[in-house]
Amino acid sequence: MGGAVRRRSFLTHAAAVSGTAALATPALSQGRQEVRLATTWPRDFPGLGTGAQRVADRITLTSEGRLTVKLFAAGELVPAFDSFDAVANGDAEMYHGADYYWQGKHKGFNFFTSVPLGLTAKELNSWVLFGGGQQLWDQLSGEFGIKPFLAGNTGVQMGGWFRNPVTSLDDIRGLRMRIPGLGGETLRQLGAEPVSLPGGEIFAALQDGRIDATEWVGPYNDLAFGLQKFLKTYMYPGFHEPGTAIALGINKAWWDSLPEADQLLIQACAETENDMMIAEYNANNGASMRELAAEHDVTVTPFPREVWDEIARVGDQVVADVAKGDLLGARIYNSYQRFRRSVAGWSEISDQAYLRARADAFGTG
Amino acid sequence: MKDNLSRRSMLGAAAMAPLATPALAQGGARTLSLVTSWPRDSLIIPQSAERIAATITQLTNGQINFEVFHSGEKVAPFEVQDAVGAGAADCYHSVEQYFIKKHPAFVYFSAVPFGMVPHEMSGWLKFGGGQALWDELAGQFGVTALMAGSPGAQMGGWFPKPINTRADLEGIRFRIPGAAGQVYAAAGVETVNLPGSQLVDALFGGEIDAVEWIGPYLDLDYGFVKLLPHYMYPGWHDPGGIRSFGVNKALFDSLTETEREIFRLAASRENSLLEAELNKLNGESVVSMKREYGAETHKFPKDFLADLYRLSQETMAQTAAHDALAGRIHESYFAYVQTVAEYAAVSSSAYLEARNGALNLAEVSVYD
Repeated sequence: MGGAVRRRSFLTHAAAVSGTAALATPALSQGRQEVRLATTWPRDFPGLGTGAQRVADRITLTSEGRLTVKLFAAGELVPAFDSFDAVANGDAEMYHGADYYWQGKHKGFNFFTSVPLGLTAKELNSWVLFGGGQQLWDQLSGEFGIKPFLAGNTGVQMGGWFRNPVTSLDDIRGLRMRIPGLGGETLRQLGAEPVSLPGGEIFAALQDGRIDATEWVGPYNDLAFGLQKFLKTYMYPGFHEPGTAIALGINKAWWDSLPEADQLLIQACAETENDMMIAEYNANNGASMRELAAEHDVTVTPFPREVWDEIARVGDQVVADVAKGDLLGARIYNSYQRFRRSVAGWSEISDQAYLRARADAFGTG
Repeated sequence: MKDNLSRRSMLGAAAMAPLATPALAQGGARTLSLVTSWPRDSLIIPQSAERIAATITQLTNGQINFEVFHSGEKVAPFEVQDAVGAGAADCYHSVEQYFIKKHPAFVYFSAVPFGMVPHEMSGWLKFGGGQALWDELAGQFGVTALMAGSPGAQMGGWFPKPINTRADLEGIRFRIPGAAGQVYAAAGVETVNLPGSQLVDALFGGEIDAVEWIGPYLDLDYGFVKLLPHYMYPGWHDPGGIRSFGVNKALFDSLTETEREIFRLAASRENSLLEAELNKLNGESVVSMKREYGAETHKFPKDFLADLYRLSQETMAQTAAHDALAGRIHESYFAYVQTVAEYAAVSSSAYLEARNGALNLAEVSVYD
């Protein structure tokens, strides 16, 4: 993903911002408070935007309007990547977005979204909710005046779209691929030329040859986006984002001012979206993948082992280096790595072995 | 798992006071009864039921309170759905496969051999038409039920020796209930159904030779490892053990839309919490049971699983043939799981194999 947000948002945002400038402070009347939720997604973007809308609607409904959440799509209140600052400054009460967008503020934010060779959605839930991750996240976001919660996950992303299958490390050298963040850094160290591009520029860049390959999200979003019109090779597994978590970030001073019942209500609505979003992706990814293969001539193929193993080795090192030289960053990394080590053996004999056995039984492996 | 009762179960339980949350005298505040299939003192699962109740109470600002009765305190564990359907209790927390004698299709909403893992189940129910089918089925019994968490993929059971072929199961009396028990019986295995409260005694008394329960953390608490060191995987028979929160249908329909949404939210939230909690504990327990108790984990061989898959299909076909509704549920369930299984093979499954293999985090690799 890395830029799922940017696609339509920045095209319209200049016009949209001026129209919403009047909504400066939360209105308080008769016990009803307007709560501004800035999102990093285009309105109703499948999975991400729909998820943000569900969070907003659920808080409004279950509080019976005591907290009436008004959702602003990317660019409507502030540009997508300013959402964090807007909440920190009190220009919005909450944001719904991917926390690795704020890695320029602190590299530690990567671990609360997804890192190469990192935790799956289920493993990340375990680490954050029951393995000490939330306390570290509270500390990190707290430095910026924000209280964070998990509020959705896209599941494992695909490895990306290519003109031809990657058959060796030679195919990676010189490859111009649109892949942001730590995934991009991993491929750069393997000789690729990673490019960071907003979604809205991807098609043009593919057409004029600025890039040869791109990653996006997964079948549900990629099919709707239309990447199959330009590239026909879809590779797996995705090494760079094995379970992209979405955050609900809340202005901490506002959060602290809420009664405990409202705090629990918001937390429960976020945790519920943690169930809903991955369910929505699951219900649509399989069918979209079938459509890509059956109707769009897309070839779905794995990275060869020697390519994967080298990507894995380098990617894991990139992650190890990311938080170096910062005490909190190192604590986050150590906690994350310890958790991955402690859960991997169980993941192997449970989900991994089960899904393999089922694929073998169905003949879909 | 299936049968609920843990060894510490019921004797002491009846004497314990229920977790009453007395209703404050606000207008319209009321107290509902919640009956569960879990002994009060068993780990994790009863607390999950209580967390759902607490969430509803807090989100309704104390308008809906619960008096929680765990297994046997008000209703026997397998009878919770009957009690709620008849209005003798208001809500239950259980697994739907306990009710397959009432209608075999309840199994689709708890654990199907080679079926859906929890987040797939959530996808089918909420975005794939599954909830409407569940409403139709449970509605016949006066209940509306919601998915309310999962302990995650289960293990294949504890055995006195590694199981590589059907022949290895000869002479072994295996405690395994539900659809999985039917499949093993079809494979010629002597299966036994015992409540959890009797498992340890049955093992020491020689009444059973092998046992399936839930997963590492909850199994370790029972100490099976001391007698049966061979722990088989994967748990092909139960990929999720989905928990359900059932509500008397007339009561559910009488709630305001806000209250119904709060019930759905409290159940859905548990899908995020319960599996995550047990996943952490299972990870630690797998390590400690190997290091400290000498447990050996073994993978069922491919041929063995292929055999059991064939028998599972026959068993599930019998369930589907029960009536038209069972047939429709079966068709919807398997259309969904076939589609998502293809995607899992290139996403979550492929990723875990490749990650764990390349970084030597676990024992096998997708490329082996």
